[in-house]
Order: sequence, then C-alpha cells, then structure tokens
Amino acid sequence: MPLERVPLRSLGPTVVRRRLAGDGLLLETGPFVTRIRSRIASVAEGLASVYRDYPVHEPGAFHDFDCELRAPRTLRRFYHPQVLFLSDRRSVFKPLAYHQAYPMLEWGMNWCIASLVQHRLVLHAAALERGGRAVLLPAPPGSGKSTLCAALAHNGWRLLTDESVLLDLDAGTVSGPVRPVSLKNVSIDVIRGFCPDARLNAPVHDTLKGTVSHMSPPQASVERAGEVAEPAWVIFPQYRQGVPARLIERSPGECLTGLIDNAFNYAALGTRAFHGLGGLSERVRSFDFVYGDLDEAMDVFQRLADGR
Amino acid sequence: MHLRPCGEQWAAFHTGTGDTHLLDPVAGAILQCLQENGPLVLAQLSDCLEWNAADAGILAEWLAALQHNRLIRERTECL
Repeated sequence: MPLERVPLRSLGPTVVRRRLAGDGLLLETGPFVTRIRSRIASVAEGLASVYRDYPVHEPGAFHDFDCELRAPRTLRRFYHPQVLFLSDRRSVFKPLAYHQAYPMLEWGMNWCIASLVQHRLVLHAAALERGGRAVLLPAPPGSGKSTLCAALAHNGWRLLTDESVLLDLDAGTVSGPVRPVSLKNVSIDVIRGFCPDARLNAPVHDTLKGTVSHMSPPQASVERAGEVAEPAWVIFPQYRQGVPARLIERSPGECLTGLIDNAFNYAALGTRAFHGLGGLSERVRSFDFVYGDLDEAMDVFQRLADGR
Repeated sequence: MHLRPCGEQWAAFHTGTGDTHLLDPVAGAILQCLQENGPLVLAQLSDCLEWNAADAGILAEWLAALQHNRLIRERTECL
C-alpha cells in the first residue's frame, strides 16, 4: 500500500499544532522520517515556515527518529524558562533558553543523523548536485560552508544537504536529508542580498552560535530528495575576507584524511569505511578552496561543472 | 592492518585502533611486501621492489627509518 503523504503546507497551522501537541508530526526529510512532538509555538511556526514543501506522513506511520521539545518540569519554567530536546524520550543536550526552541530542534535532528545512522557513512559536509555529479564540501564550523552551500543552491545546483552527507559504501553514491541551510550572523544578510528569492525564517538571537536563521531549500531540491548522485568533487572551503577565489589541488591521500576527519561514524564502520572513502578519494578531484566573494565562488563552481 | 593505494601514496588502516595513516610510496610497498610474504627477508623485499644490489644500502636505511616511524606520517601532520 503506498504511503499517505501530503505537503506540510496543505495541513494548515491548526492541524500542524494539533499533531505536534498530540501523537507527533511525521516529517519526511530525504530518506528519513522524524516524529516531532512539541507544544511550543515557535516550533510550530518554524516548521510551517521552512518545511512548508516537505512531505508529512499520516500519524502512526513508521518513523526513523523520535524528537520532542518541551520545558523542563521544574520551577525554571516560571523563571527564565528553558527548553529540552529529547530523542526517544531521553534528554541529550543541556537545556537552552526557551526562545531557542526552533534552532534546538534543527540541532537535535542533526544529532539524530550523526549519532543514530549506521547504514551509511555520515560525513559532516554539505553536498550539491549538478548533471548527476555531486560536489562534497566538508568543513568545520566557521569555514563559510553553509553560506557557499546556500548560494550554490540558488545558482543552478541541487541541494542534497548542508550538514550530513550520506555515503552508500556499496554503491559509492551520495544522498542527503535535504534539510534547511543553517545560516549564522553576517551570513544571514549576505544570503538575503545574494539570493533575493531565498526563504529564511525569523532569526533567533543570542544562541551559542550567535544569531541563526534557517533557509528553506529551493522547492525543486525538496521534490528530488530521493535522487542519489555520483561524487565528482571533494572541496574543502575556507572563507577569507578579501581573498581572491582559488582552488588548490589535494592529492587523493590528503582528500582521504580530510574526509576521515569529517566523518561521524568512520571508526564504527571500520574497514568498510576505510575502503569506501579510499575508493571515493581516488575517483574524485579534490581541492582546498579559499574565497572572499560569492560571485567569484559561483564562477569557480560553474567552471568546475563545465569541466574547465 | 588493511592497505590500499591512494593516488601515489598508500593508506593503512589499523583495525585495532581504528587509526588511518598515509604512507610514502616506498613505505606502502614495503608494508605490502611484508603482508604478502610474512617475515622480513631483505633479499625478498629487494626483489619485490625490483631494486638492484646497489640500492641495498638505501633500502636498509629506509627500513631503519620505518622502524622509527619516520616514514609513516600521521594523518594529523598532513593537514
């Protein structure tokens, strides 16, 4: 029997709030379905804003992850209220200030993929596809990865993920959960200016990462979320103000070590991961990429896609 | 230990610790030779690498260096 799934936008705000407060909203993001429960208004508003094109499953259907956001049941709920993130009814982070409930949901969903997925090698990287070929962008926080990813997603590249690349070790293909892109601080206004069509939710201030806002992927990326891609490039980005865009080639060995450093479950998957990443490093072209201007960066990626 | 070529280098995965090392081409070839042939036999090793007798001294030096991990570059040093 086919799964019954409808776009979140078709439910309307009342049904979304009712499901979140009841048995849960079952949200499909790429290969995963997450059950989300919360009575917090900003969670419902955030989901309705950035996930409006995403499929939602009928209550009671199978789900991969179980997430709940709620206030701690202590007197703190009256004085400087806080919010807890629970996965499978277990609190996994320290509580945050109540107004950070929505970004905490996004971080919690990232945690679920990084901690619970073992059937794929999970890389901390962005990935985008063009013409069936994928570019992987592994990088630590603060490197300009998400800004670059958001700009590419609005300039001819299909977004696979901003955060968690899923590598199929048997097929060698990559996919992603096609979740919203997390933008921080000055990147929020940079992307608003660079991609006027981008849909961003209301910024949340004073988080551990500063001010954060989430950008919805373009609708075409959401609709093609089930399509895998062949990795063709692994590019390690680094934003440096005022620096001309430049690619510096990495050897396959240097590519391999960079990928290992950005893998969540490399040790758990052992020799399969070693040979999988080793093979990937030999098949792709790999570069370090420094950039200080998004227009220049778009030109570099255009030339890569064109084979120049 | 799992070994695989990686471009011009070799990568070694230590199954006990889960660590991965990048090896110089020569170190990789020596380790592969050891894996295939068991105990270290200098003549056999030299033969495996297709080196002539004149290179035996260099080979000995490389082996000594290998014993002190000088040829094995920790991946953190490559970043």
